[in-house]
Amino acid sequence: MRKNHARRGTIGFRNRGGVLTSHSMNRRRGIFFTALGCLAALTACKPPEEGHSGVRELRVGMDLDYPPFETQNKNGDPDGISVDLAKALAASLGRPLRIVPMDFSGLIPALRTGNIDLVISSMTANDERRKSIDFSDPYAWTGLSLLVGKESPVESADALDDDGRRIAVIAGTTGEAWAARALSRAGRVVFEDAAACVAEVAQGRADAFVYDTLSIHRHAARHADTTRTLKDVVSEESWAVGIAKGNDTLLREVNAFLAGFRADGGFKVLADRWLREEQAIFEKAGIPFLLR
Amino acid sequence: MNRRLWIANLTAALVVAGLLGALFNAVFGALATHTDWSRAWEYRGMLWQGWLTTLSIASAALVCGMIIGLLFMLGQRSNLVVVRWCCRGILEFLRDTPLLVHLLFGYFVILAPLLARPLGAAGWNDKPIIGVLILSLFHGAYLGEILRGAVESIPRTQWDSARAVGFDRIQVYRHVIIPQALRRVLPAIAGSFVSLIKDSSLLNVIGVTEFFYNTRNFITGTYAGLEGYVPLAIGYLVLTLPVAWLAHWLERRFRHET
Repeated sequence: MRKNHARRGTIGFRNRGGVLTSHSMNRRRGIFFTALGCLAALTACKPPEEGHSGVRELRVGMDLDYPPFETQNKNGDPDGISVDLAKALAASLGRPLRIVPMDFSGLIPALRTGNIDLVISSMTANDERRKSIDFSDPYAWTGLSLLVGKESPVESADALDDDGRRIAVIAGTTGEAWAARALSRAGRVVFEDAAACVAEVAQGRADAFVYDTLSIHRHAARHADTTRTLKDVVSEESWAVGIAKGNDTLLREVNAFLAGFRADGGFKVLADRWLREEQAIFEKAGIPFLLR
Repeated sequence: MNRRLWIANLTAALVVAGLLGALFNAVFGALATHTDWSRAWEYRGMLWQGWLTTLSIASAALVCGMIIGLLFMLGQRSNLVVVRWCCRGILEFLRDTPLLVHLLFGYFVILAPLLARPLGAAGWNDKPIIGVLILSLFHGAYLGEILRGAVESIPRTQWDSARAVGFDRIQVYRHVIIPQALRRVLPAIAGSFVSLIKDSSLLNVIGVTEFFYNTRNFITGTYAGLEGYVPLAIGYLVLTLPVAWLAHWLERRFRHET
């Protein structure tokens, strides 16, 4: 769903040193360890940003360009479902939170070079990305849906796999990849943004627009007089929290948090706060809701 | 101006104004029903913040880029072959690879691991600083090439005559070469500055929340159309037009000097 960003190659991780205490050691060893400690401090082994209490900040990277999951409020502060989730996570870990906003293509490099600790940015956990980063347990499930013209006779995705059909997709999305694979006989028209794809379908120049289920249902609701959705949800995938490889402690902590948050009904609270309409749409369409 | 020409000019002006008016009316009239300027006003704080960030990174990069450009120019004209070839190599690498690669690679792989912690410890935000550095290097390379071209366009005889009357190397640059080269090179420098300002919109890949990033998020966040793109265009025009205007003004000024 989001632009597929996969970079290969190995990049070193930031190493962290502990604080050395020299009491309870004999004097000579004390001096030795103090010197080692100084050396460690000089070679920048000090833990990164520290809060006032000395607890390390939890730096969460996200691209604030995907409302209502990641967005900015009127003052420009990060806001949205992922921000609320990150706040709850940081609170449960007892660490101060810092949201690091950046373009989606910068997130994985930032994670791999230790610039951020986590990515919570509606990122699909796919095998290509698993080659460069680890993912937590999924916290949202989404699939692809199809937007068709209101009067279109098409009832299933398979019917679109035909020579005369034109499928609108956004460049670099999983929708484009799916259409290339599953609707290989149909023609594809590639755009940079969703608005153009919706217009193509609404004005009858394309037979369908393939994109994530939630976006498709939102667009269908906004353009109810010209478009509708197909029932099929194809190519299901999940979103998860991205973590640098080898950071297993944090991975376990995040997974434990997600399980607890789920058990406490936290996802339901988030859905009620941010996606009330969409919950109703999903319920009506008989599709399980994506945050669960 | 004679009377006939005056009338012709007036008619042309009226026709152009009429055509433009009709075009604007057609375009904006069609969009007006979906345009809600109050949304842009509600988000003014966020847009303003982004614009200020862009203003400061662009100004800082203009100054640093100019210095780096001068160094590249001098380096390429150095008497030392090693310096000359090094400058040439770095300059070609910077000019012939995309800025996005410099930003991603230069920030995440090279500069952030080196500088992020010392800068953070000093209470600075490392992202805009490193961003400005990379942007300055990229545009410094372009400027270095522009400046070298300008300096080399001054005929060799002028060098020799200046040296013959006893000017040293610095005096030749100061009194003979730079005044002439600057005039020839101003339009190209202005063009380079304008593209630097626009290129600053790429800095969001390393997490600098500048004007383009904030406006883009405002547009996707509120489904804004014209009310997002018009402030975006105006915001950049406010930055680029003075640069272009200043260049023209300086060009006229230096024309009288030589």
